[in-house]
Amino acid sequence: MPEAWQSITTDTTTTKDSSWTYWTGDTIGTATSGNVWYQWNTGTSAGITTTARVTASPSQQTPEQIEANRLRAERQQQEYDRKRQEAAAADERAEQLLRAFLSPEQRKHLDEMSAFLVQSESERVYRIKRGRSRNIEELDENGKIVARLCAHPSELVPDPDTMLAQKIMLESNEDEFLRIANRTVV
Amino acid sequence: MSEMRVIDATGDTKVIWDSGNRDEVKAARDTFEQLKKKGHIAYAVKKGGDKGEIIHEFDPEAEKIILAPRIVGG
Repeated sequence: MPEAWQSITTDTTTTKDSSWTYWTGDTIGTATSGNVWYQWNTGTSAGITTTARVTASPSQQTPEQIEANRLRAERQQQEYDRKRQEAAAADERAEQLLRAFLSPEQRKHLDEMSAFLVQSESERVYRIKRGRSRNIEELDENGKIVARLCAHPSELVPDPDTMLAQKIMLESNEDEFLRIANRTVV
Repeated sequence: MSEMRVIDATGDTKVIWDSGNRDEVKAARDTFEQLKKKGHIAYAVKKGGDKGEIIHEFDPEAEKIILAPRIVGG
């Protein structure tokens, strides 16, 4: 049995039954047309030529298999389109609900800045930006950001729903919101 | 007519009841209590930016109620 080193070198002492000779087909590292090395290089030397390539021939499929694959791809596309439409409809519903509970000034800010301001009972001012997480900024009296807050509904809901839930909780139960939220001082 | 909006993945699900209709009130109350048990938070709100108020009991006379999934830290 040849040594492993022999199997991976071009050592001329490697015997015919080593791995190297299996791949090259001879004992001195040159290649012949009938071995693997030759087929990877299309030549008889170790130099790689421009015509060297490996091609994989596609497996033969019956017309029934091709049709089944086409139908499966079509069903997947339809499912993807349906989910995308449902998500768009959910976003639209959530947007309408949010806007219904914003003041005209908050709606204007939402349109212009993709965010609106909320004043809590403690007189603190928060900016709720579009998004689900890390989308709330706590502002000082000059409008400068002093902290970022991250808290959102436990269920995955459209972003406008998240923003409405955040708004209502900041207004009605700020202490609890601050207890739950991850707060990062800026 | 009163309405309850349950925030969910579809945007929201609307539940409407007439405070004079016992069956409708019962159906709305059942939904409310079921979701409260699940951890939802209920707010009595008015449209137009007015601040909401947390409620713990179903109020058949409430104008609007929003039920939101509990808030968790992100």
